[in-house]
Amino acid sequence: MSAPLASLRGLTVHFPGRGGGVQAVRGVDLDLAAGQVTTLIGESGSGKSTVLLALAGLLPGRARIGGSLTLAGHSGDVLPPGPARAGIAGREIGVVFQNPGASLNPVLTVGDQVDEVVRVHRGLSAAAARAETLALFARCGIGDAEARAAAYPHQLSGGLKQRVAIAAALAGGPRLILADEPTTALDATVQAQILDLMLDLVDREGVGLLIVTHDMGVAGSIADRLAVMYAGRIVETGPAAAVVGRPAHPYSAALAAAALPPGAASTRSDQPFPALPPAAGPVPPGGCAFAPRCAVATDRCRAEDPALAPVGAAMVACFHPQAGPA
Amino acid sequence: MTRLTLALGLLGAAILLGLGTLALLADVLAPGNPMNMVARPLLAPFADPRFPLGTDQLGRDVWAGIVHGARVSLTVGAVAAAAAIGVGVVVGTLAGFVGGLVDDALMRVAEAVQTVPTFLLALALVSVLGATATNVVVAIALSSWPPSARLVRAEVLRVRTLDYVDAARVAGRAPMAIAFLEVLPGALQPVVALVGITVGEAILVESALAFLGLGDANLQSWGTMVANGRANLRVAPTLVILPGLAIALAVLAVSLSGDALSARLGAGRRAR
Repeated sequence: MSAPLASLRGLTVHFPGRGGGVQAVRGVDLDLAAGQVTTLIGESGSGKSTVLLALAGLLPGRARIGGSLTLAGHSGDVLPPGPARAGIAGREIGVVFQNPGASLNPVLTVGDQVDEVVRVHRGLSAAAARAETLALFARCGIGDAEARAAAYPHQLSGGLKQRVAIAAALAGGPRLILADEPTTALDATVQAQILDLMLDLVDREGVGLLIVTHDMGVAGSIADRLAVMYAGRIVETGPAAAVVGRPAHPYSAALAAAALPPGAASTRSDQPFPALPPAAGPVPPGGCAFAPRCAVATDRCRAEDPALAPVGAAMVACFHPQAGPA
Repeated sequence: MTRLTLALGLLGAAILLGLGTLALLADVLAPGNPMNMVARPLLAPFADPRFPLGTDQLGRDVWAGIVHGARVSLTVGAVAAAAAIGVGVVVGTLAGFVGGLVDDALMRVAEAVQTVPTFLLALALVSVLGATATNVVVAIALSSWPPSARLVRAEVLRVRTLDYVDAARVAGRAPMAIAFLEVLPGALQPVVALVGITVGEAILVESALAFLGLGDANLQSWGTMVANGRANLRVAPTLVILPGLAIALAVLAVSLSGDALSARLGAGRRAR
């Protein structure tokens, strides 16, 4: 693994509020490398989207953010909002949102929207910016780019809109792309095309890609590295093949078991979780957050919070890592 | 939108078009300064084919006053309303997008302005600034911007939470560019509903100011004509009725077409 493009260390995010507020992220470390796909996976409320918003600088002002983010070629911490953060938006980090129908402005043509981003970052004339936009569209597999650029978002299909959104994210020339469930809002056939496009950008142009998803199938099929989040922490991280193939944390194992393997018949026996995830309120001191739902939890799990420790090729936060099939 | 609204809207638009034509062609339809004395005073309508609507107490052509007055009323109404909505849009966008103290400060000012009746505030401003057409426009604009500011602010508060605003932010766009180029276009639609009301009110305020003698003394305005005709109400009631009708017709036309326009846009919005 080459030197990381971005290093996130000890990220904590707390939303103040009644009853102690919500501790959404409780100490997350993440390294994102060039030419590599990292996937952050977890169920709703696990804090995975909050991590992405923190990286993108989109958390609301009331959020209390701790930790640091360093980027290759930048000295200092760019996590807190401010001039340092403003300087990297779009230029170092591009973001692709879940629903392209909402992330494009309905009252502007898609060409104008991408032109604007190009002009902000390159200081080009209108004509030069449009030429750059058309080149970006071509890179993102948008055929007939000139006609498409004159279209409004509602005139384009969901897949095309997401390609435009990706083009807009690339317009400032960032080396890191963050994508929040980039295929969830799309048709199944289009999902594969969009994932192919993003993988292509990673392989061909060496951008680093972080995908946040709850879809183990998507995660396993495209990720180089996988991080599983539960209740605001990473419970298992490592090469995707290892985490999906031989999950060591009971939670990852349950997630993997719940995913429908490709080509499997729909008559499968679901493996329901024994209880709902913990409310994202103040976590009781001590003890593993997953213990209340865990089949192999012992008294130690309820008293002591395990730290990430190497298990095979992965790092796992569990006292009782599963010995999966080797 | 019902057929009735549409029909009334078209009627309003037709009247407005007619008044606009009168205003544009004023110099052709009634050449010369309408303030000039051209005939015997208090000539009755239809008595002399050269002066179809008669003359006032100073022998000035009433027809010339009406068509030239259309120019003043419609211009002042449109410019003042545009200025009021322009100020409202800028204030509302800043308040809604920046939020916090800026929002509080701007909205408290808007509320302070709204506590004074529009007409009284305009009256006070013209009294202080002096009675010229420009000052009348300024006074109307300064007293009638709060409704559009509040409406735009409310819409901006809704639009600024949409994904495409976040997308612009992470793309590195400057905050003011986001506010005015990304958020504002999405927040403008309901303002259309205010255009008719604001223009109509601006015409009324201009007429009322002119009636009180605070219109531009060098321009023949409908309000001035009503004020001047008042003294001869018994002998020549048409001197008050004709410009009064013109005012009523103009405001009615503006508000009918404004209603139809906002109903049309509202229907489009619901259908989406």
